[in-house]
Amino acid sequence: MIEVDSLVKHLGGRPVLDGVTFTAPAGQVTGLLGPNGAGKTTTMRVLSTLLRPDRGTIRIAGIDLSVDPEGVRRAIGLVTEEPGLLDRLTVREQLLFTARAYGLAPEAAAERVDLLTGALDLRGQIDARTGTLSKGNRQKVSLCRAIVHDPPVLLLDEPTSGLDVVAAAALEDLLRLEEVSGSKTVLLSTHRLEEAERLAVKVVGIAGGRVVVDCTPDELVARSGAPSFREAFVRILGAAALESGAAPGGPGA
Amino acid sequence: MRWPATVDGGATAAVARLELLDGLRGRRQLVVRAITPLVLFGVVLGASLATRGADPVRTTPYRVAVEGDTAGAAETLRVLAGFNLVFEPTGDAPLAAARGADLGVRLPDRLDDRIARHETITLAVFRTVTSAPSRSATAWMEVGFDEIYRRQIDALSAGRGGAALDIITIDRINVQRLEQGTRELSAQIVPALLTLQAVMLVGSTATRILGRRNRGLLMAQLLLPVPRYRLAAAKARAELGLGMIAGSPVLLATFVYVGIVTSQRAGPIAATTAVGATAVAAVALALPMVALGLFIGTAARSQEQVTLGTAVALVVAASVAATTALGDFPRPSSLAVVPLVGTVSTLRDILNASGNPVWFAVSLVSSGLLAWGVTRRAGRRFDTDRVVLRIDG
Repeated sequence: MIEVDSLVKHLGGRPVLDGVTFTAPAGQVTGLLGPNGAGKTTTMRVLSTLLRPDRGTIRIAGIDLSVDPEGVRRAIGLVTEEPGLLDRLTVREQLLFTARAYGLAPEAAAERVDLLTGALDLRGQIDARTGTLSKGNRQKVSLCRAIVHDPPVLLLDEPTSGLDVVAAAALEDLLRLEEVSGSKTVLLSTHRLEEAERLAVKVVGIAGGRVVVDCTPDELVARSGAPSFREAFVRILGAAALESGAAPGGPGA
Repeated sequence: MRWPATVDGGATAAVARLELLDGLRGRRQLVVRAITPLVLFGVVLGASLATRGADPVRTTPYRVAVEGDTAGAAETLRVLAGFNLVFEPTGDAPLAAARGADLGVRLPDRLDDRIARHETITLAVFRTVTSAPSRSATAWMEVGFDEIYRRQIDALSAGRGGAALDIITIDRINVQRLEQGTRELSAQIVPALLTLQAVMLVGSTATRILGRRNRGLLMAQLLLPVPRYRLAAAKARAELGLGMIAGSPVLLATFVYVGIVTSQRAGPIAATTAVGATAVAAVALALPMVALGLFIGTAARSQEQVTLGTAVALVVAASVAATTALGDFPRPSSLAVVPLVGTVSTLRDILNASGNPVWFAVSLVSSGLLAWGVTRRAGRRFDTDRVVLRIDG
């Protein structure tokens, strides 16, 4: 479970997150939605301990982030738009090194890598250098790396951005796999509304650094009176963004 | 395996291995890093020899260190002093010539008296054959003795003296080939070389860290459940390993040189000790440079800032090399407590067979502490917003 309470974060003297509060229920996928500059990426970076919160309380898998950030890091896996792989290393090396860095014994690490590369259809590329892989396959490796230590919480920060439709659909299918997301708490930040609608049981909408929606996709549609999830999203989050003065397309906040 | 997995020191070892393997796979960069110092040192050596070969016209007298019976050579020295030579008494003429005097002369007893008696005399003159001032001073001395012969001829024609001419043979000895000269020279060159070799790690480390930040590679490592300073230490280990591998041609040549020079002088045990001290000093000098590279890599906003930081480090290192390793300034033992400078100074003393192992150890500790402190500080910078915000460019 992820519990965020009154999270505040300033960057460059500007408030990017202004009292963000939400929960992501255990074992389910929660969508984190919002226009550009809303604060989704900053939220993900704070939750993944890359940025320190200015104020607020965050508990991830029962661990207080301000008390035990290393414990939180052990409990999470993060996938971002940019896979961030070392191009000169093979898939196997990349995953094994990561598993070892998380403290897995050599045999357990090899077993886990074998399981994940099989599930994510990467066996054929396991000894290829990651620099030679397609963007879709690189993102698969990034996903493998994020869950190689079997964390209870998975943070997905626009994992399908930059992928073509086919690759994005394939990755979305993988996210449903038991080996990937089964029993995990997943927070999915995405621009692809259909993706969020299909995967998430709950959506949290952010605009101007504040939570403006925290409900199920069906509730969002009902509340807005819109004919579709997409329409409901545009109405509610768009209005909130205009109200807060957030500039869509702003810097990657 | 179930979460939470135990994380131990293996995590940082894994990061270090990952970085090292990635660096070793970049063969092109590795080869460039290995070749650059060879070319650089070759150019510096060539330029240095070329400069030494050209002796500018001097108005100041050449310094000649004289050892032996100076009182018995007063008249000879007075005549020679008229030929742009100034004499300074010393207890060890070869050493004085090796340490900066233009020439060293070992005077025989009662030189004036023996010249007057037309005895055959061999005069040992110690010079540095690659030094143009030293060669010039030898020539001036020969001209001075020509004058002494001329005066003898004048005396003969005036019926005031004996018959022997050309009685003085000058035995020219290259102090670079003497034990003291070789020892002094290698004690200067080796620490200077190691300093310049080490400073190259600043730029390579900083560039790799900045590159990782900008390409999103740092993020995956920042997510590992490892304290930031241990992550920084793991990166430092990898960079040190890469630096040692890339610098191995220069380092191996240096170790072989030190081993040969020392074993010829003092036997295999002393040679092993000298090579060991040189190897340890090479690591002690490299460690703070890697740490500095880490710090610059995390602090810099751009490649331009990395280049600027590296240039400053290079200037400082070159100054240390020029003053502490090659210079003739007084170097108190307590200099050992100054990181880097102390290591350079005490290694020079050790290789010159005049060092104290305790001060050498102190200097290693001081350089190590500097590296540790800067690495910790670099690790703390991993937590700053600026580093994270630049992670994906």
